This record gives sequence, C-alpha cells and structure tokens, in this order.
Amino acid sequence: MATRLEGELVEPGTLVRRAIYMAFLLGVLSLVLLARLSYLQLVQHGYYAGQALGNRAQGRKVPPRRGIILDRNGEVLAANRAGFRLIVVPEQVDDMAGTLGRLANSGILKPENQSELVDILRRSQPFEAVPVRSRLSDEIVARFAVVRHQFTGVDIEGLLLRQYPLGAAGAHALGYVTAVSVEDKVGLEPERYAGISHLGKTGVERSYEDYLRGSAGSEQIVTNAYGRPLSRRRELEPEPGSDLLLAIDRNLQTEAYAAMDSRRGAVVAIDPNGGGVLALVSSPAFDPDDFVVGMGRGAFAELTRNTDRPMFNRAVRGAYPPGSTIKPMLAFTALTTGRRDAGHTIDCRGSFRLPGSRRLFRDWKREGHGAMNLHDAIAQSCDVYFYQLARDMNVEGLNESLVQFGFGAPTGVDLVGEGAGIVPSRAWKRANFSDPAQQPWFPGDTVVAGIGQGYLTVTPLQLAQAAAQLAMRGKRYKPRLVEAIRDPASGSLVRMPPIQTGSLAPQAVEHWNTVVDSMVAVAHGPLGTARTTGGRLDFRIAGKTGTSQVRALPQDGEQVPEEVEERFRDHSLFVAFAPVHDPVIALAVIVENGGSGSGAAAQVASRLLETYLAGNAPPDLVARAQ
Amino acid sequence: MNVLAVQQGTGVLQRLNLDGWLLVWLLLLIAGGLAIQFSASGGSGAVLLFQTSRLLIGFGLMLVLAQISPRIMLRATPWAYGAVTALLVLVLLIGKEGGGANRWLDLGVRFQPSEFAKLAIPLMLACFFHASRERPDFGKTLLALLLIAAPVGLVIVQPDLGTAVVIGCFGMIALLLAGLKRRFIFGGALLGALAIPGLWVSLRDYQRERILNLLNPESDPLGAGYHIIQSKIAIGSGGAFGKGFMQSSQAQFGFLPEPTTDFIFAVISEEFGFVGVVVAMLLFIAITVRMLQIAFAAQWRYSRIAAASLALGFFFSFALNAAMTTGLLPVVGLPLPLVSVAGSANVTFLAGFGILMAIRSDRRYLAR
Repeated sequence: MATRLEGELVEPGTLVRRAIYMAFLLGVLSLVLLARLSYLQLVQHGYYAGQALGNRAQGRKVPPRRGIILDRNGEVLAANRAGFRLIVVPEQVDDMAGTLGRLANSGILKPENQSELVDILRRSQPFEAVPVRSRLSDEIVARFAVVRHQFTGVDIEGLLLRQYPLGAAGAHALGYVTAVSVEDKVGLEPERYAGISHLGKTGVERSYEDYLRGSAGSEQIVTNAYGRPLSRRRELEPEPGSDLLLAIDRNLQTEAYAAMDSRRGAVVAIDPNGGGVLALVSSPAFDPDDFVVGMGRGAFAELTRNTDRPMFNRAVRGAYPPGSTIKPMLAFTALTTGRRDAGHTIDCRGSFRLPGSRRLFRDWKREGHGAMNLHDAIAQSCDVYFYQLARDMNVEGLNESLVQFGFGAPTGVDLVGEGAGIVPSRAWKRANFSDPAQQPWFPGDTVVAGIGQGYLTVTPLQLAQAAAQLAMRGKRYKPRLVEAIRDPASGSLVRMPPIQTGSLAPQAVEHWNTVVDSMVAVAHGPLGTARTTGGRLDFRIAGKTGTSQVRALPQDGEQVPEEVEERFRDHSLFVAFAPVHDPVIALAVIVENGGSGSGAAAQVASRLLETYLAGNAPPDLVARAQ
Repeated sequence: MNVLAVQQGTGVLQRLNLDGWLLVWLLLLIAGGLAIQFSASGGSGAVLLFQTSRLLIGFGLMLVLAQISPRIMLRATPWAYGAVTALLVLVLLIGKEGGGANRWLDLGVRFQPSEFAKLAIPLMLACFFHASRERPDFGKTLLALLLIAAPVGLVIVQPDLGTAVVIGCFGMIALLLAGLKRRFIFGGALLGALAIPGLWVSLRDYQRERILNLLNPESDPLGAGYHIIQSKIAIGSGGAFGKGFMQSSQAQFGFLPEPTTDFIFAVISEEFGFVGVVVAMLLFIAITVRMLQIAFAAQWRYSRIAAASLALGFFFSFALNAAMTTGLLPVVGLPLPLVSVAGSANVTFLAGFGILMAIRSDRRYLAR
C-alpha cells in the first residue's frame, strides 16, 4: 500500500452522489427541452412552417393594365405610362422621422410636410407599402439606387399611371381616375379591387370602369428580412382591361375646348347618323392628370371653390334656358299638327300682349320685324311670331313638341349623372312651387316658353341631340361616347350598335324641308341672325341662334349689355348641323353670359364645323354642301 | 517522480494521453458544428476559417494540457486563477466595447477573459478543497464563495449577465461536489429566493426587458421579442426531419438574428429537424457521460472535483443555450459549446477536455 498522499479521497461517496444528483437535474432539464422541441417541431410544426413561409414569401396582387381609350381615328385619349413611386413599409423603418429626413437630404423627398408624412405613415395599415412620392423622375430613381442600401423598408416601385394627353380639354368627357381610397373600398367588392390602385371617378372612366379595369393577378414574392425581393413567382396572370374606342374626334374635342377659351359654357357635337358624340366639352375644366397622382387638399379646395365651377360637367348636367334655339322644333310641330302653315304671315310690331293683360312681351327687335311667315320668323328669330304660336299651341302643345325632340328626359348617354332638364307643365308647376299664388299655370308662362325662356331648361347634350334629330329629319339616336370595346388579348372589337330612340314624322318631308331651309337662312339668308358667321363659311350649314335671359329684366328700361354685370348677361347659344343634306355633324354651343347667340356661340360653332368638315367630310360632301 | 502522467498503453492515443471515446464524440460534434456554421453563415469561408482556427488553437491546447500531470496543475491553479482575475480587471480598464458591454481584451488577439473563468473557478475550488478531509465548514464555504464571487462580480459589471451566471454556476457545481453542507445549500436557496426582488431592482433595463419579453415575446414582435419569435419559427418550421442542409430560410434570408452564435441551435433545428437536435443532444450527453466516468474513476480529490465540475458545467452550458433558443429561458447571449462561433469559449472548453484527458491518464491515482 502506498502512503496516504495529500488530497487523498476522504469522502468518495459524497462527490459521486452529488454529481449524480446534478446530472439527474440536468437530465430533467433535457427532458423539458425535449418536450419543448417536440412541441415546437412536431405539434406546432404546421403553424411555424406557415410563419417561416410568411416571413419570406408574401402574396402580392399584380395590378392589371387598365384599358386605354382611343378616339374615332385611333388617337390616344387616355394611356398608361410607366412611372415610379417611392414606397415605405412603416414597420420596417426604425426611425421614421430620421429616415424621411435622410431621404430629403438625398434630394429624394421634398423637405416640406415631413411631420405630416410621419403621421400618415404611422396611421397606415400594418405591413402595407405606403406610397410617399409618385411620378419620380429618372434622376431621382437613379439617386435612390445609389443610396438604396442605406434604407430599410424604403423602395421604389414601378407602376402604370393613367395619362391624359388632352389634359383639361378631355376632362369632362373622359373623366379621370384616382387612387382607390379606404372610403371607396367600403362600397366596392374588396376582392375585385385587391391590387387595383386606381378607379374611374367620372366620365367614360367611370361609366366603363368594369370594362377598363381588368382583373388583378397574383404572385408570391420571396423577400429577405429586409424586405428586398429575392425572387417572384406568378400564380395568376393579371387580365388587362378592355380598350375603348370612342366616337370622339380628338381634334374636334381639342379645338372645341380651345374655342371656348376658358369661358363658361359647353359644346356637344354629335354624329347625327348613329348618335356618336364627336366632342363633349365643358368649360372651364381641370387637368385630370392631377387627380391620378392625387393633389393636395389646398389645390382640390381651390378647384371646388372656383366660382367658374371647373369640376361641374355643364355639357351633361348644366340646365340652361334654350332661348330661340327651340324655335325650329316648335315650328315643325306647328306645321305637322296643322296649327300653322308655312304661308301664314303675321305683322310683328316689336311686342306682344295677351288679351286682357297689361303685360308686354317684347321682341328682341324693338321696332319689330314687320310681316313674318314661319320661314322668316325662324331665320330672323322673330319672338312675336313664337309668342303667338305658343299661345295657340298652349302649354300641352309645347310640351308635346319639346318631348318629341328629347327634352325633359335624360338622353341615356353613357355617362353618369346626366341631367334631365325641365319641360314645365301645369302639374310640374303645382308640384314645384310651395307658394299657392305661384302654383297655377299662367297664360304668360306659356308665352315665354315659346321663345325658350321661363321655366324651360335643357342640357347642352339634349340640345345637340335635338339638333341631330333636326338634321336627320326626325330620326333620333341615343348619344354615346363609346362606339366599340376592344379585347386587348385578341384585338377583337365588339361594336355597340346605334340605338334609335325616336322617329318623328318621317313622312312630313315638306315640313322638314321648310324648317331646315329656314335654319339655312339663319346662317346664309340676307337677314339671318347668324349671317355674319354663315357668310364667312365656304359651305352651307343649318343653324339657329339663341339668346337666353339669365333673369327677367324690368319691363321698361333697355338692356345694355355693357352695363349689366357680367354674370347677368345673356347666355349665348347656337345649334347647327352640316352639311345640310347628309349631315355628318350636329352640335350645340352654349357660352354662358356670352351675349347674343349670333355672337360668341355662333363663332365657336362655325369654327368647329369648319374644323370637322375639313378633316372628315369627303370632298364631294363639302362640295355638295355649298 | 515522473512529472508527466505515466504512459501505460502502446497505441497512439495512449501515448498522447488522449481518451478515445471523448475524442470521437468531440470530433463528431466539432465536424457537425463546422458544417452547420457553413450553412448558418450562408457559405461564408471567412466564418469557417475563423471557427476552424480557434478550434485548432483549442485542440493544440488540449493536446498540451493532456500531457501535464494533475499535480502540476494543482500547483499552477492558484496562479491561473489569479491571472484570469487580473485579466478581468484589465477588461474593465482597457476593454473593448462589444454589444454595449466591455467584454473583450485586445492583446494582439481579441479574446474574452470571462470565458476563461469557466475553467479557472472550478479548478480553483478543486484546488481549495483538495486538502480538506471534512465537509467545508462555514469559514471555508465563505472563502470558497468569495473565490467564486470575485470573477463573477467582475463579469457582472462589464456587464455580461449571461456569462456571469454561467461561471457562477460552474463555481457552485464545484462547491456542491466538494461536499457543501446541506444546511448551507438550503439556507442559500432560501436566501436566493429572498434576494430575487432585490436582484430584479438591480438589473439593467435591457436585462429586465429581456426577461419580461420571455413571458410574452409577441408583445413586441419587431423589437425585443423579435429574436425569440424568429428563433421559434426556425425551430418549429424544421419539423421532424428538417429542411435539409443549407436550406434554413430563416438564417439564409436574415430573419434569424445571430445565426452563427447565440442562435446556432435554431439553425440545427431548422435544417435537421427534431431528429437532428436529438442527435446533437445525444452527442452532448455522450461527452458529458464520458467526462463523468473519468471524474468518478479519478482517485485524487482535485481531479475528481475538477473533472466532475467541468463535465456538469459543459452540459449545463449546452442546456442553457438550448433553453434560451427554444424560448424556455430569457435570451442573454450564451454560445452553444464547440458549435457557436465563439473563439474564447471554444478554446476554453477544449482546454477543459485536455485537463480531463490528463486526469484520465493519471493512472497512478486510478484505483482498482
């Protein structure tokens, strides 16, 4: 036996026992660990597998291409332009204010409104990319590419943005799209708008939204922890929206807006043979491109506060007294109902008085027109003739005539929010006046209706429709902007057939000729109210001037336009069609407070007729028109 | 007296004083660890090179230490303990920042002296209790606690709570193995329970936040809870058989933080599934069992306390890291032994195995 050495074991059992105790405790810990691992990996595997997938693969909707809008000649009216926008995913940004500040310092963001932006980003939907700047220039895109690695949760996204080459000129016909807002989503089927960034708000963009929109596709994007896409896989290809082919003539539309020259008013031009709308202008208008990217609250407020009401579509919603423009229609009805014949002559002494009444109804020509038959009464727009005629036709007769020419009811044009105008009747007056003294229909109400004044109102579109009906000698077509829808994949066209909505006395050829001849005399006759305008044209048109009073003027006392405040000046109206035989265009022009119809409106109308016929009528047609 | 351990066998392993079983398990663990590092780092050669170089240093140290007689070690222990304590003081004076705390020393090579305490403390206690023939009395216990407290205190003020807890536990294991009296054990446990509120107050905000986050990591999924949520996703999504080598989407795509260090266990779990982690766990158990066998076979008190402390401490380190990664314990940033990229820790563990091998080869004191 060796000697007992220093450190020789004294209690060999204690250490082993204690070590085994502790090993036992660690064994228990290992079992807990094992239980935990089997819970995570075996029981909860499905859940965590989903989480891991969700981490890196994100389902994303792929926006479809919105259908484009073309004019009758294939010219682009609304297109999609590739653009870039800066997006921020707020959850992935640690220091929002700092990040935005650095973006501003790099010249990528505008330095103003930073705190407002931080607020918006804070309130955004979780894990949703928030666009913070749209329409990035190439320079800014390049600038961001250089510093991109310094920004987590900030990226540039490519997208297609609507673009309207016509600008304000097309605004009220085409409408515009805006970003889909949370408010919009409430009313929409959320599934159909998933992945869709913009929707049509007005005009054709709105009424054909379902065709233009297309449907979103979907893809899975695999990203790393910093949100950078690593790969993407298409699950469903987006279906592009259908293209629209409009009846609109781009040149005419542009020219019409230019001719209005920012004055308040509207122009509607229709192809009488089928009802295609060649131009639809409401002036002044707005730049629809501003709505695509969104405008500031201030700019929008300014638009809505503007007393010229640029957002108001006068062409389809405006309600104007038609003035003398309805005289040809009333005359036609008088002829066909036998109330007048073409040879019947009256003596116009400048005013008209109902029997037993002291109220004087003045002619626009104070000294009177003298002897007037129907032809001259239209050509020279004699009021006294039509005061008498109205009295003889009575309100029921007037109404029948006006309704036959499409007034008092929406035309059914393919735009949303069309107005109906008012064709007043005894019943209408009872229903619309609360003061019992005002409710009865007075004989005087009938008399002023004969020259398109009083309670009668029409929309410019209705007026153009009526002009087209005159041009077609009674045949009326529903006005429409869209003539065909093109499937983007196959290129196949679905044409919308013209819808005839009326056929008025086609057999009364003689009466039509009488009325149309008198309208030709308006522009080309020696005493025609629009002879100045008509004389400048090298082709013949049929037209009718209209001057409608904004408010009743005092019985005595002369109206001096210069002295009347601009907004109380008369509206200037003109309806026309050309060529006189085989017409290709009918239009209505209203220049608010433009004074006499032979002035402002007739000038606009003749300029547009020239433009259109020069470009569209076959040479022989122009020749025949002369 | 022969300074070196007596060489009895004739094989290569015997001549080098290496324990065959321990060596096999270690090599398996290290090989597996390097493979998983390659994956976790996204195939980074730099990470692999660093890890390999540190493991080679550790292996060299293991080979050298395996040749030294425990009696020499016994005498050298107080010096080693003193040196480590001095280094810890030096860390506080000229340490390098790393993750908000002063943990590193840069003396030509960067290293973390607190890791060395995992070896120095149990060895020091083994040395301290070597000559005792009775269970330690109150005075000796107090002295032993002071020997533990000095380095632990120096680590706490760095501050590195995780490492402080681990090296404290290494010391407590040694103290228990040395025969700490039961009334001290239970008294200490009672005192500890009473001290918890005080300890809570003394914790730093981020430490408290980590503990609170363990209870409900989802409360702050993108802040403090992010680590543990992503770690659980990695582990859970691995399932029974894993996604396959190099297929850890959580690590490859950057969702899992610290994939090569604190959360390497999650990468193993994700790529090799439940089966893979059970195999890894079995490797750690095999190593620990072999170490305990060596400890129990040793006849010298110093050797037994040292070997058993290192064995239990090794497994404890593993279990702690695994428990943190799986969300059972608050995450305080501890490496998985021999697998995580953690130079100082791995060198220390390998040095410990060298000491174990030296003890095993000390045939002269083997009974039976």
